[in-house]
This record gives sequence, C-alpha cells and structure tokens, in this order.
Amino acid sequence: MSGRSPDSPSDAVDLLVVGGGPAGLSAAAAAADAGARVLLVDENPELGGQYLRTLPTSWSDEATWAIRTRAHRDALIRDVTRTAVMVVAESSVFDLAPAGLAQGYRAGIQSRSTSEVRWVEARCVVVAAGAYEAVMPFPGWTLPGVMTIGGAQNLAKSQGLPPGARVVLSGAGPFLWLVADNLIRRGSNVVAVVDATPLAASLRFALRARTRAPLAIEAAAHWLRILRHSRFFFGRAAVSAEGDGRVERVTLARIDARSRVLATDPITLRTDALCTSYGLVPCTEVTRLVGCEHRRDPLSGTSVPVVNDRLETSSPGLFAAGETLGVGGWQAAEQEGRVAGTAVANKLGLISDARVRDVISAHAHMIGSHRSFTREMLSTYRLGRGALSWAHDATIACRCEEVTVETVRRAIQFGDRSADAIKSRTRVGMGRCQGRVCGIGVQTMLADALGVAELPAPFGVRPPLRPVTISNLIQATEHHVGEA
Amino acid sequence: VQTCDVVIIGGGAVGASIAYSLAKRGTDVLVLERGMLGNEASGRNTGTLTVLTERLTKVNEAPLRSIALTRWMRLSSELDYDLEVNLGLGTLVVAENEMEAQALPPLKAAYEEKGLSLRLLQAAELRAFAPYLSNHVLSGLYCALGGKANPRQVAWAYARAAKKCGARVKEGVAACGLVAEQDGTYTISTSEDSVRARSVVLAAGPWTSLLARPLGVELPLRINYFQASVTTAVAPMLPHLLRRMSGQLTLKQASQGNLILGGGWCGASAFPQHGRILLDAVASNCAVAARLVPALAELSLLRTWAGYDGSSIDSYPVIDEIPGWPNVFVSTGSSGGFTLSPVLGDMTAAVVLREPSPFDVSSLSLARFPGAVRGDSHARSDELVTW
Repeated sequence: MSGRSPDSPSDAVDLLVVGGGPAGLSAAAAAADAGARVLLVDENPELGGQYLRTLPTSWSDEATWAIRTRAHRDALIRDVTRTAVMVVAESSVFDLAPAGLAQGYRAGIQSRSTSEVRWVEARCVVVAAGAYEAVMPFPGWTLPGVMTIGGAQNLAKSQGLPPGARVVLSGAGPFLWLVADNLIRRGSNVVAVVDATPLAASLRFALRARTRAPLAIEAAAHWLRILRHSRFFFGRAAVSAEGDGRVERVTLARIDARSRVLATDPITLRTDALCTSYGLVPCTEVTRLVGCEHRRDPLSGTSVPVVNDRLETSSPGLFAAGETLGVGGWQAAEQEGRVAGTAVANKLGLISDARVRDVISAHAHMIGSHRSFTREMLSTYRLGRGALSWAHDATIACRCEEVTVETVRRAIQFGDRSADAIKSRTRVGMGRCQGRVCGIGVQTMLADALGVAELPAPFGVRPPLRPVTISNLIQATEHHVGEA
Repeated sequence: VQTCDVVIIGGGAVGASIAYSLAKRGTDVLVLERGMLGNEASGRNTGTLTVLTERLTKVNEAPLRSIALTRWMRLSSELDYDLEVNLGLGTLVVAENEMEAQALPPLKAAYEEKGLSLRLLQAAELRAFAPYLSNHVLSGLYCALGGKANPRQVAWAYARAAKKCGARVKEGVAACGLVAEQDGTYTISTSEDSVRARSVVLAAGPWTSLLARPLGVELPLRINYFQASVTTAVAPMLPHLLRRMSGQLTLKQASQGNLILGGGWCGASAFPQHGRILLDAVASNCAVAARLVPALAELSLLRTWAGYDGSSIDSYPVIDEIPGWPNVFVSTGSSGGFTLSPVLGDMTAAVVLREPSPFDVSSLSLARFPGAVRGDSHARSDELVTW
C-alpha cells in the first residue's frame, strides 16, 4: 500500500500560517510581500478571525468604530489576496512535528467540510491560532439553549437567528456588552445582561481607560443601548440554569470578589437562551504539541509559548503571534503578525537583519501598550476562581464523556495531583473536544483542592488535535505495511 | 531510620501486586516509586487480557495466563475498585493469507496440549461468527477467555489495597543506593531518607536492569515502544478482542463505544517523552485495522498515546533471588506484566517469604540466561552500592 507523497507544489511551502485572524493575516502578508511561498490555514469559512467577525455587517454604518475595524479586516484580507498567499479555509491543523531529517515542520491538515487530509511541509510556521471562549461548569450548563456568547453571535451572523425569544447574557466586560448591543440591534429580545464586575470597579476602570477615547465611547454606546432595552445587572452572574429538556429559568446570584455565590437576594428569570462569556483561553495546542518552551499564562491558566523579540519560540522556525501568546487584543495581534511574518522572511534569507530590527522596534511600543491595556481590562472583567463553587457534585464537568464534578473531585481525593492524572482516571477531557471545554475547570478544581495560587499544568497535548477521518488519514499517509 | 520487612522498588502493576500479596500475609512492606504509581508500562498499555499473545508465540505461558485471567475476573471486587474488567469478549486471531491459515491448526493443537480449549473457525463459519470482518479473511482461532481491563488505575488499586493491609507506599521517592549490613539486613537510601529492611525486591520493570547491574547481574531486558490510539465512539460493532496471526494489530471496543487500536506500532521517540507521537505509524496501524474491519475506516481517530512494554529477551518473567545477595530478589521481565500481575504478585511474595509458590517458578530463574550473573555478584558488608 502506498499513499500519496507530498510532491504536489502546494505541499511544500516556505511558511505555514495557522490561523486567519489579524495576527495570521498580517504575518502571511508580510512574509509573502518579501517573496515567501505562504500557506494559510484557517478553521472558519471566512477569513478575519473571531473578534473582527463579531462585527455586524448589516448596520456597520451606525457605529464609526465598527466601520473602522471592519475596513481594517477587509484591508488585511486584501493584503493576503494581493500577495498570492495560498489560503486553505475551513481546515484544521491536526498535527505538527519537526519534519524528520529535513529542516522545518510537517503539518497534517484536514478540511472541515470534505474531511480530506493532506500533509504539508513548511520551513517555518507561524501559530496565530487565536483564543477560544472559556466555559465554566455550573448547574444546567449543558442544557440546550445554554451557549457561549460567541456561539450566539455566530448563530446570529451565519443563520440570522436570535439565540432565543428571551435571551439572558451573563459574563463580564466589553465583549459581553458588544454582543448584547449587537443582539439587541438585530432585534433579539435581550431580557437581561448580567456583568459579574461590580459597577464601581467598572467605573474605576473606565476612568483609568479614558485615554482610549474611541473604546470608551464605544463602550458607552453599548451601555446606553443595553440600559434602554434590557435589565443590566452588575456584580451578579447566572449561576444556574434549569428547565425540562432545555433552559427555562436562570438564577442570577450576587457574587463576591472571588465570584463565590452570596446568598442574598437571588433573582430568577424566565429565559430560553442563556449566553455566557467567562473569559478567553489562548489556543496553544499546536505549539504545545511541538513541545517548545512554554510558561503559564496567569490570566487564562493555560500554557503559552515563550518567544524572543522576533516572536520565535525555542523551537527554531516556529513562531507565534497574537492571542496564542496570551490574550492581548486584535490590534496587538495584527502588529505581532507583522513582526513574525517579517522575522520569518529574514530567516528565509529574503530580507535583511536591519529590516527586521526596524520592524520590531517600530511595533514594540504599540504592542506593549495594547497588551498592557488588554491585560488590565481582562484583570478587571473576569470571573474569580470561586465561580467553580457554582457547580454541584452532579454537575457535568466534561460533556463529551459525561464526567461529573463529583467524579473529578473524588479523583483528587484518591490522590491524583495533575490534570493528566485526573484525565487518566476519570476520562475527563478524553472526548471530541480534547479537553478544550473542561480543561480550565479541572485545573481550577485541582488548584482549589490543593490550596495553591497558580493553576497546575493543563492537559498534555497529543495528535490528532482534532478528530481525523481514518479513511482519509490512511489515504494521505505513506505506509509500510505488508499486503494481506 | 525507618524499618520494614520488605522494600519493593517499583510501583508498577507488578511491584504493587507484590506489595499487596505480601501485605495480605501480614508482611511489613514499603514501596518506593520514583514517579507515580502505574504511570509507565503498567498504565500505558491498551488493557488487553488474553492467553493468545502477540503472534501466538507464548504457548508455554498459557496455563499461567489462564490462571491470571481467572484472578482478573474478581480483581475489581478484591481490590474494591472498578478496573472495568470485561473477560467476556474472547480473543479472535485471524489469518489473512494461506501461510497464516496453515499455521493455525498446529497452534491450536499446541495450546490444547497446555489445557486450553480453542475453536478453529473456517471461512463461512467465521463470517457468521464475526460479520464485521472483511471477506478476504480466511480463518480464525478463537479463545473464549479474553478481554480487557482499564490499565490506568491497576497499580494504584493494588497499592491502595496493600495500604489497607498496612503497607506503606511512597510516590515520588527514588531508591538511590543499597548497603548490606553486617547483620544480614539492608539499608536502602532514598531520595528522601533511608530505610532498613530484611528483604529487597527489585520490580522496576525494564529499569530493573539498572538496579541489578551494580549488584553484578546483567538482566537481559528490552523495551518495545508502541503507540496506541482510540477512535470516536460508535454503537457496539466488535464483540471480540481481535488480533492478526502475524501481529501488528490488537483491536477491541471499549464499553464507551470507542475502538482501541494497538499492535506494537513504534513511535518517533522513547522514554521519557511518552507523549511524542508519530502519526504515520498510527495511520499504518489504522490501515491494518481497516483492512480487517472495513467499517473502522469511516470512523475518526480521536486520541493517541505512546507507551512501552518491557520484557526479558524471551519475554517470560524473571523471579529469582540474586546470587550472592541473600534476600535481594528480582521480579520483572514479563511481556504483559499487566496481565500476569495478579499471579506474579503471589509468586514473588512466595519466593520472598520462602514459602512454596502456588505456581512453578523454577523456570523463571536467572539461570536460563547464561552469563547474566557476573563473577563479582556478591554482597560486601558495609559497602554502598549506588543506583
């Protein structure tokens, strides 16, 4: 049996870019501009990334901010198109490893629409995989009608559907307000927007952030619309959902500074859609798979790659940019992409060292400024670790394998002291999502039980990063198997 | 200085089972595990429990394996932990070509001579018995005894049961050296402190050779690295543990519905980077599996992991006292220490306590490896041996 060998021209490139958001697009364009053969892989049908995609298309004329950022995204995409970057949309990288004796890396890529598999060799790789929404286990979180606000937003954008007839949004901070505003403008009946951050803390941050006038104005516009159309709660969270077969009621509890439930004055609302936003987790599976040096990201609890000023990791030729390095916002991501793409071009011998140094120093200040602002914002608008106390023993921790919180806690009582040990005992994180949903929750439960401040290491990463259709994997791979 | 009767070095399935067997008999046992219990070969296999081993090469072990499997049937209740044992599957070994098919009848006879009862299934019969198989499969040999368990918690469960009988188990503590005291006892220095014991058992799987070497014994052990993988879950479709006559495949369906693939496909790298997976080899493993069970091709590959199997060069266990070192024993070497662990524990405990073993251990001695015991193998009082 002999599979297809990677001999077609598209199967060997100078640069593979993982992710088509601001970081990936600008990295691809910068490297392609310098003459590199670039292949960009993105999981979504459309380029642009998650954050810029959350902008409404139909009423972008209403908000100057929306117009500006939308134009920005379009320009990024144009750059990529103009520079003849090969784009593989709706596809996932399920494996990345050093390419044997050759320099560079070998990536396994599967189309999400056709399931077709192919292997690609690349001399350099930029991982700009973005971030995904954190999910916390709370009673009823697996009921139909409970989703992340990103999920609600995508539903609205892709199918024009509101998440429900009576929508409750619960989370913290600007992303919550933005999506609430968008849903209201699209005509959804948003009955409540529940922000975990106390009003006073929010206003304090607004005062500090007043130097960023456009953002403050944008936030004010969101608030006004929310206040006009919905009930707007502060210092509360949707801590449980109930219903027969789907969500029918949510309980909005007051929470303390560490997000633990306070008994006073709970509110129950009727709803058929609860959309939660409990933070962002950098996508680092690809870099962790390669095994370059990582550090713990205090904001998300996951591990993020360590990079030098060229954004190259400890694994030569492997670069990272944007949220993969820790959530820093789309503006930092875009600039980091440019730095990484330029550094790759230099590594490939296409541009001079002096040029790279210029690009690095031209962007360093703005990247630092965006990142520190985003960090401050995320530290203000985040759930504390106490949010895990919302879960009951019977609450599902891992929905893929249907493992309860009690099972995880019992594993810790049995002596398991790492996320992987708990996974090994309980099957938590072994399912389709590969622990992306339950991972942070398991790490947090373990940290709480051990009474330590820093979260323990996340689940280990092994290929395939996404489930791969076996027939296609067999077909795309060279075999050395004796015939029957 | 702490004291105990027996120090066991190695907290895999075998070491922990020995601890359990000894503790059950009232012996004061201390287990030293440098990492985590059962976190190496014992916990990283695919949980296969069978008499019909890879390529059917271990006919002589069939009686011992049968007894071990009988022990597995009640091991969950004995250890008071659900090890997800399912011995109702039976093992089906199939022949894909004439050469393999011709080998099956003599092998059947050989196993039956050892007291095992097997069924030889020819084409039409096989088709009815195993409708999931591809039509090109010629024949199969079936043993009703066989199945699987969840390997991951086995060593831990033995250790917990041992602890309930008074054993001490130290994880994250490595044995660093050994001193033969003048009174005939031993002092074992560890990464934490030291412990004085009457007897020492080296049960560190393939790493036992590193412990035995400074004592003057060259254990002929080897390590076979492999990768295993799991598909997405499907409705029950594979009621047997499936193997190929020529190796390269073990395939079974977990109770959760996932198919588990193994067969000794080697990964890119070795211990201690268990995690590094070579997907090409997994794909080849899948190709072999899908050739036999075509429906598998339509599933998705969900997870992979790497592990290893350590064994002696003849892949039978080694249980013996080290010549020149009274009361220092080795217990290692079994390919499939996981499967045999219930009986290896009892056998080693009997040897340590100098009681009659429930099963013959004479064939498992060091003497079968000429030259393994060096001339300088003997304890010198007060001399520190460093590991």
